[in-house]
Amino acid sequence: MAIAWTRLWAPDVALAEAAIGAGLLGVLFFDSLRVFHERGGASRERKGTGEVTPVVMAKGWAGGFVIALVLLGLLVFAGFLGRALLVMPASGGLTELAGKHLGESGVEHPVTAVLLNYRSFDTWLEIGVLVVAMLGVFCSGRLVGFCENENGSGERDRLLEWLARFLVPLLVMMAGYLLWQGKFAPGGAFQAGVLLGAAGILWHLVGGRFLVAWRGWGWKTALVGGFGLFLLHGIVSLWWAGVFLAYPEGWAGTLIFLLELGAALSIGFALLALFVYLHENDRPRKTRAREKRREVR
Amino acid sequence: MSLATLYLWLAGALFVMALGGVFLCRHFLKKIIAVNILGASVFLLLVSVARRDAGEFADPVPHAMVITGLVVAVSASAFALALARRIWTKAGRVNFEEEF
Repeated sequence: MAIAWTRLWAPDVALAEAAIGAGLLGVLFFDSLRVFHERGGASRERKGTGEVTPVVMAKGWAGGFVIALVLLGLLVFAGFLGRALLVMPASGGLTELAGKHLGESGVEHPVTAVLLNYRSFDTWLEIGVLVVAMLGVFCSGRLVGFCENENGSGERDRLLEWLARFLVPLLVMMAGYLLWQGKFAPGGAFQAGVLLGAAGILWHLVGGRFLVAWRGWGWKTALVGGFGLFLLHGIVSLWWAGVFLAYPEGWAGTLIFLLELGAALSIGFALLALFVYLHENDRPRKTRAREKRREVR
Repeated sequence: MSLATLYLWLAGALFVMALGGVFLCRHFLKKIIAVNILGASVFLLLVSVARRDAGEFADPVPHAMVITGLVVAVSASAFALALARRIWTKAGRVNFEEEF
C-alpha cells in the first residue's frame, strides 16, 4: 500500500501507512494470532480450537446456496460500483483553495496545513477516537497493572535485545525529525506518534521497565494530553477570537508545532498502551493455566 | 487510462473483494482483516481522486482525511481484536456460528 501511496503523490499517507498499516497493525494481528493458537486456557467447554478456519465452509445445499447468493450480490454490487466510478464527475477538488491560503496557515506543507489548520477539528476528534478506543480496550479485559512487565523475567532474546538497543534511539530520533519536518515537508504528528509507539513496543518486548516510571497519573496525562491541549487551545481561542480552534495571526506556526508535539506524544502513548494492554492481558492466563494443571496432577 | 483511473478501478475491485471477505470469512481475525482491507480500498479511492485533481501538488484534503482515517482504523481494529480475544478466552469461540 505504501508504494501505491507514493506513486499517487501521497508521501504523507505512505509514511503513515508504512508505520501504522505494516508495522503496528501487523504487530497487533500477529499477537492476536498467537493468542488464538494457544491451546488450553481459561474455559473448559471449548468448542473447537482457535485454529484459523478456512474461508468458506459450505454445509450441504443450504450453505452452498447462501454462498452463491452472496457472490451474486457482490457481482451486482461490483456492477453498480463500476458504474458509479464511470460517472463520477471531475470536480477539480480543493487543491487550489488549499494552495491559496498556504501563506496564512503558518506552515509550508499543504497536508500539515489541512490537518492542523483548515481542518484541525478532525485531527482533534481523531485523537479523541483513539482515546475512546483505548478506553474500550481497557474495559474489555481484566484490570491489569499497566506497568507489570513480565517479559524481563523470562528467557532473554539476545537478537531482539540487540535490535532494540540499536533501533529504539533511532526510532525516537526519527520521530522527532518527522515531527519537525512536518512544517515544510511530508511528515508530522501522526507519523511521529506512531514511530514513538513502535519504539515503546520494541522496548516493552525486550522487558524494558521504563513504564514503571509512568505509574499512576503520569501516563494517563500523556494519553489524554494531546486531546486536552487541543481542547484548551479551542476554548482559549473561542474566548479570545470567538472561533473554536482559531490561530491568532503570526502565531499559527508556533501553536501548530506545540499542538503537533502534544498530539504525537498522545498518539504514541495511546498505541503503546493498546498493545501493552492486549499483550499483558493474555499473558498471566498462561501461568495460571499451568498452575491449574499442576494441581490436577 | 491514467494512473489515477487505474488505481480508482483497483480500489473498486479491492472493495468488492473485501466485502466478500467480510461476509464469507468465519473467523473473527479474518473478518477484522477483511474490514481493514475494506478501509484500505476506500483510502485508495480517496487518494487516487486526490491525484486526479492534482495541480502543483496533489489535493491535500483527501490526504489529511486518509491519515486521520488510518489512525481511526487502527484504533477500531485494536478494539475489535480486544473483543475477539476476550470472546476466545471467555467462551472459546472464534466465530458467530451455532447459536447465532
